[in-house]
Amino acid sequence: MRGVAGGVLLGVPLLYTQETWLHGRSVSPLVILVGLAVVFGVNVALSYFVGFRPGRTHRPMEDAVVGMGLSVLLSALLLVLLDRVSGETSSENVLGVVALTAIPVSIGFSIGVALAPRTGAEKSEEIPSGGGDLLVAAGGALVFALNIAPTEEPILLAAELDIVRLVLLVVASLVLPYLMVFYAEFGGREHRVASDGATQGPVTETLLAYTVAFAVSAAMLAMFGRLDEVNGAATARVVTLAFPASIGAALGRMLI
Amino acid sequence: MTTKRSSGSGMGRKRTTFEWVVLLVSLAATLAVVVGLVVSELSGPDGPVDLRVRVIDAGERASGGRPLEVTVENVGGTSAQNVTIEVTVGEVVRELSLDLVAKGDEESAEVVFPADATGPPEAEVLSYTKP
Repeated sequence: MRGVAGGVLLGVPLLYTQETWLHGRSVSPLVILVGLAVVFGVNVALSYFVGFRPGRTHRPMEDAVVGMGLSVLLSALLLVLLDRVSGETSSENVLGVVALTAIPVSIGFSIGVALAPRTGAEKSEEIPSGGGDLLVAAGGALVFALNIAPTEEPILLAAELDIVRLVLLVVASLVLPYLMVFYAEFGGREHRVASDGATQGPVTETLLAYTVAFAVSAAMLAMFGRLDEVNGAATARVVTLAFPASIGAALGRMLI
Repeated sequence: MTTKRSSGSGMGRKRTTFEWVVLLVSLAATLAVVVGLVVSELSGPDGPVDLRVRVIDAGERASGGRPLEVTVENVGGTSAQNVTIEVTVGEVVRELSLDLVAKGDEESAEVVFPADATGPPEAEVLSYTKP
């Protein structure tokens, strides 16, 4: 049930976005399949470290399948409830919209336990230095970027921002997460500041998390067909989306 | 992968019937989506946008005129956004636009002509954008 709670928390914003319904019906099935495969991998890793159910983290593959399957059903139910898919919609388009919305919902399933820890998440202490932090950063970045990537706003913002503002946005994408994770007085701050390891220095971790957020943003924009070629305009779009993604990455690291 | 970890309080516990049901249902839902996506990738409509427009009288006079129902079907393999259609009855011309006509789907809208606009309606697609 906590998985459902997490799934709804993270999935509902995307369900309420018009572009999701539009893109769900126009993005190639192959692209959605690749997205599902990547998210399934992230879910296996999240289940491995965080645990889908309290006190049980030894069946990550099974938990990821359950998270994915229930996400598909939950997305389908909510889309029917909101009258976004109906008998008149072609089956191919129903599949596209359901599969696309299942992506953030399934991540919500996996980190639902982290959003509302009970006795689970004990393995989060065992997350290997660096790699694990970057994994949860990727999860958080994915959720934020996926919710914004299909909308018009990052494209519009990127087109209107000049180089000075874009550079300032990069600075903000580094400084804000740094302050959130290592200075703001949220729970577990001492642990985060004190943790060691090659990639665990606050500055290094912030830079690496931004790199992850940048890569996730680029992948999300490419998935929705918004990066046709590598040029200045495309870079501006990624930089624009990487700001919310880096905030998501910081949130992921703070929660777990 | 499942036996790699030795700790965890639930290790070795057998699945309950409920867990089996949830697992099987989830597996079925996941497989259905994956197979469905693969099938639609392999067999779905292919090629560029291909829009077909039909116009029929929508029935009784209403909204102060003669409403016509315009249906646009996309039989191509690419979705079309911001589709603009021009409908003509005699000398009177009306334009309407649809946000999205997805590949394999059809969308409808109504345009209202003056009550004295008689004659057969004609419609053509003026423009669209690719998503």
